[in-house]
Amino acid sequence: MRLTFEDGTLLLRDFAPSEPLPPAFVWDARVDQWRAQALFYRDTLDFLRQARAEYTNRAPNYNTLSLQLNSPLLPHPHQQESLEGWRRHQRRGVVVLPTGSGKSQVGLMAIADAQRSTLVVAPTIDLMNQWYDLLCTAFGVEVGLLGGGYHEIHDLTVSTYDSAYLHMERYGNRFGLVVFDEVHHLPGAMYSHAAEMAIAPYRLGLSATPERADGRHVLLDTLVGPIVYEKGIRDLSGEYLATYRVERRQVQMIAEERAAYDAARTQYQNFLTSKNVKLGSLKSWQQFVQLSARSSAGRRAMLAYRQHRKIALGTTSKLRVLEDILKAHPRDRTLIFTNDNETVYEISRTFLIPAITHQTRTKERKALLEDFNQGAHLALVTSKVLNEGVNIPAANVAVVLSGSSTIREHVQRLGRILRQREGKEAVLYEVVSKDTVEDRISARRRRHPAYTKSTA
Amino acid sequence: MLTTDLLLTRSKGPYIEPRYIDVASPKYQQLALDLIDIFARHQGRTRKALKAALDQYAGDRTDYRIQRGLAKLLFDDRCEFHITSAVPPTDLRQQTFALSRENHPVICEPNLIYPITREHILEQVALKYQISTDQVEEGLYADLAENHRLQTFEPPSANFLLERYNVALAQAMLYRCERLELSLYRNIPARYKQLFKFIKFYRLIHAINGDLDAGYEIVLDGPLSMFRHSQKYGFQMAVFLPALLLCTRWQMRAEIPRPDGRRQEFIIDDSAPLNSHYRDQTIYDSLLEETFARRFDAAKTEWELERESEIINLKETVMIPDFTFRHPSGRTALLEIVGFWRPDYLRRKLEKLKKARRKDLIVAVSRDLNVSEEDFSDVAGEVFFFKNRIQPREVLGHLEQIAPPST
Repeated sequence: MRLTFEDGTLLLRDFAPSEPLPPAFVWDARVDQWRAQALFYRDTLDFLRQARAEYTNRAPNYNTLSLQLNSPLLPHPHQQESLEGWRRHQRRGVVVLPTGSGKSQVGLMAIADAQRSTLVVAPTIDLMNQWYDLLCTAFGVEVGLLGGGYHEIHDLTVSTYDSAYLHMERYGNRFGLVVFDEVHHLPGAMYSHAAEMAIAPYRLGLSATPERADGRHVLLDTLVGPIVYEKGIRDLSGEYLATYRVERRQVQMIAEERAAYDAARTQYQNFLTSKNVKLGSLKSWQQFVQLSARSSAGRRAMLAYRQHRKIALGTTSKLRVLEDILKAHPRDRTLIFTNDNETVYEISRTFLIPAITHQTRTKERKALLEDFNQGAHLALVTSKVLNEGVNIPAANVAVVLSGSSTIREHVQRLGRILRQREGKEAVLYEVVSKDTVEDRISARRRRHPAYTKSTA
Repeated sequence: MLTTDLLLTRSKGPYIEPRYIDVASPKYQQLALDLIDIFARHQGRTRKALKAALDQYAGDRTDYRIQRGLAKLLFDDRCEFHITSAVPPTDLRQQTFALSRENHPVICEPNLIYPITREHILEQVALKYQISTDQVEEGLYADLAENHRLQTFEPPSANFLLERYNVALAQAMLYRCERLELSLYRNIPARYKQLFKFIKFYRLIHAINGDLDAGYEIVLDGPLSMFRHSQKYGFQMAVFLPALLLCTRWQMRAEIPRPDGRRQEFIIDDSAPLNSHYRDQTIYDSLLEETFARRFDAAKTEWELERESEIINLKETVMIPDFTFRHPSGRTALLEIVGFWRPDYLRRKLEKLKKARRKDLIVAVSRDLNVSEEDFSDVAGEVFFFKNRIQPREVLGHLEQIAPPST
């Protein structure tokens, strides 16, 4: 029999009925072949070896490497322990560490340890770009990119979940190790193909928050492996992370905005009262959406609802507060976060501060981040693209001008300024419009333990 | 292509279908004309301005999702946007941000500590490039998609746009599809070939049942589908639809899962109000075939030549012979013409012919090809070589060989 990789699956060609059949294989009458999910490549090899079967293995198309990890830093104990935990589980598993504790370093150590062609999968183009920089520096070899307009495969390649699940049926046999960064994205119905269509016998997942609201994180066990190491933010704070304080600034809307806000709010509330809908649950929200598609009055109410949120999140008074904060930190490295790209560019134009959004091109983004880390820029304004794990060691002031109420997003924003540095105290400003819908959004996002710990 | 949020559907028990629009209705004709007009009037203006105009036009109308769908098709298929700026935006940003770094933080109202304002900086940049400060401000982010300008717009007719919209709705429905079943009845080879070209190109897998007279049942899904339901192949199925619409007699059944786990069926057939925007293949693949068909029809024989073809399932691929012959006595046979092929195609064709193992197949091979009779020794059926054109008389001879009258 002959084991081959085809379109994200394994085929067992020329199989004789007298031979032992690996358990993952099923007869595919569509093509008259035995077929299995690529995910079970390693189990299949184990089975065939134990059964002392005679077979040719044409499935893998990856290389053994001799990479040298050029890292000036000695690994922290928690990084070393992570690696050992992973090795003990046959190099399959998930490492859980808080943002800012050097998860990527664990990834690099695993790549150096496995010495196989490796694919790193990251959730965003920005993180893909950052892994690209990281791998280039750490190993001094050519690194491929799959996603964001690039399509080059090398022994070390970085991709996004979006591109990985689309292309894995072609490249699923090109890698012996797959590193899934922010692995909580993987169990989605579509993204999981990125793990299922790959034969990689070695797999590593990295995350600060592996749990998913939909419960699908239980799939990680099959897709990647069990949790092999875990440390929380409180286990490491102060020791390996910078200390930080939180400052909350409330702003009064200017009179015209207040008037527009109240008018919009009254309009949609009147509509909802007339229809007997009370917002507050998913169901009532769906009702609102349906009503808005049925009549012009409903449509107007929905537009008013959006308008009132927009005013609260993006009030001009906030720009004044931002100006005050910038003046208070003339020599600090400041990151400014907003909820939408429109505000990012408004701030960039107003204060002539460089902006990074998902529309920023790779080269420019890289240059901006480098300049910021080296002090050639003192401020950066961004929306959601820097939320997850982008490395900005120099930042010590963060300003959250507006944001969604998602807890994860906020903790990750906090993580941004938690990079350890000699004598560095970090400040996080949260700017909230007074007496508006934003009060509630802010309350919800502060419910995380990392946020209650204010040292000021 | 329409995104899922622009897909409007209607459910009837176990069935689901898109809410097609009535192309002839004056209401939608007017809507299409208005939208096309808005696009046309925004030539040279920014995408942001165009979008604002579209929102303005939509106002509080409740059919805004139809409008957005139509607009999306115009954006995707009919527009070309370009960056316009006196100085490359990246240069402007570099200059501006370097100056602002030197004077950090840049504020709006000057005071004793911060005498330099943004206006000063913009003026310096303007001076350097010999442009106005307005041009600096405008050019700073001229490369953002929303600031791109509409260079060319090719207006379609209202009919074309509305028909394209209906097909796009059906396609958007198929994004969510996990499995597609087709019934096809007596189509010509060119249409079948076109279908299977898409099936193969998009790496879908087929299972086929049936024959020429009963018609064919084809199930389409992907390699992984036997292990778990997946919508991964939905996009491939969607792009395949316009090719199906060109067939003459067909039905399509798609299984669409709902978020709550229930499944619904989306069924359409050749009576659906859908017109393909793909160009139809010519009836014949080549002049060679066309000439042969004409000459055969003129020949004196009881054998009838049929354009409707058989699909020979070779599992990982298919073979679709060029002609079927039918005798009043019920005898049938097939003809495959191996005319002008590139070497790699020829090799694959040979393999298919061998794998087909059809004794009722006549293979006519051009002498211009670099092959010998030996190459065809493993092919079941009758093989003969021809020069320039295929003689009906010769084919008739082989027909009697391959499908002799039963005694």
